[in-house]
Amino acid sequence: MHEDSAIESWIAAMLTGSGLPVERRAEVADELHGHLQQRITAYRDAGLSEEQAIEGALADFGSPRVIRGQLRRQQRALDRRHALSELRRHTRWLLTVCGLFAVAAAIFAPGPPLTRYLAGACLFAVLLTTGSVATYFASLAERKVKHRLPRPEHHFVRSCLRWMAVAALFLAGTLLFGPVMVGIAGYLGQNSLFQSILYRAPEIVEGAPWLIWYNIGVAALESPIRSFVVPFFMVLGAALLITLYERSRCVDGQTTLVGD
Amino acid sequence: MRFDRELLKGTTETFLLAALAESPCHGYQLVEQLKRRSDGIFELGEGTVYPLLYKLEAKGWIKGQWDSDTALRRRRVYRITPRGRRQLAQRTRQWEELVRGMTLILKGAAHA
Repeated sequence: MHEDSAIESWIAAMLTGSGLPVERRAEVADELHGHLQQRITAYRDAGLSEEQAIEGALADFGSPRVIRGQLRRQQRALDRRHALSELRRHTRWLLTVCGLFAVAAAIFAPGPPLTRYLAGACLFAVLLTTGSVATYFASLAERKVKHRLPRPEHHFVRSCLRWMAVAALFLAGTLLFGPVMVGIAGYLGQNSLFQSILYRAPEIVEGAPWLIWYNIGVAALESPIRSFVVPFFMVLGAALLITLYERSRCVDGQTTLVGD
Repeated sequence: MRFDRELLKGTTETFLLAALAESPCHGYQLVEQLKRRSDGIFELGEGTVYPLLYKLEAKGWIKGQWDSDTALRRRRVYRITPRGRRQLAQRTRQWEELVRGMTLILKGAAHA
């Protein structure tokens, strides 16, 4: 039995079906090849024949099936961790972009101007709050897969507070600068800033308090963003299902990467 | 000696961290050290060291680098990272407590 061919066939048996990426396989093969060669050399130096040295080295190394299983479980865990990390990142971006679309659509939709603007802001706030829940689950699952000690309560509160603080700031900004924005929009439309503010003033005072909440749903469903809303919530639902599934796989807050 | 698999969980990782905390090693050296330092009590399938090393590397506790100085085949040398040292310190404390507790319990059982 030739040394190199015996090592190569053992490594090939171990790597087949291991799930490692191609470039990683080459590295692992290189590393294990070096180890086996050293072991064979050590046995040869100890007085064993070529045949015995190879057999002894391969026996010491263990079953390729067992090692393949360990590598596969490890790779799956890494892939899952990466997927969750990406999911969390993309969920955040998706929510922010959808929120901005919602605001833009609400502002330029027909209806009383400040109401539209506030509706957009509220919709944005709702989306951010939803974002806090979605990213909480995604990051929780990610943390668990990373084998770190999760602190669900603290993390959840912090996550919600962070997102809601942004939403609150946005709402506060809307209340403070909404009339100015409406004025600018009116100025652009009617070419008269003062005229616009004067004409809109009664609507601002009378219409806004009652129509804000009513208009959240209406602004979303009657504006062009509905084409974004449905796929968005489908993606969000899928994300939540995946993260819940990942949570259910974690035992006592810990999942090992190798599995055993 | 054959140990219960559940009992051994985590011990190999701790050993690998401890060995790498002393000096950077490649896989072959680690296996040799494990045999020598445990006085033959721990005998590991040599191939099973690598998934563990990759796992520790994925966690950021150790870092592997190809050693190009050798005239033979390239070897990957592993070094412990600061995070790995912190992890080792934590595990060492846990082990010491565990051993102390188990010793007290088992001594008590032997005298009963």
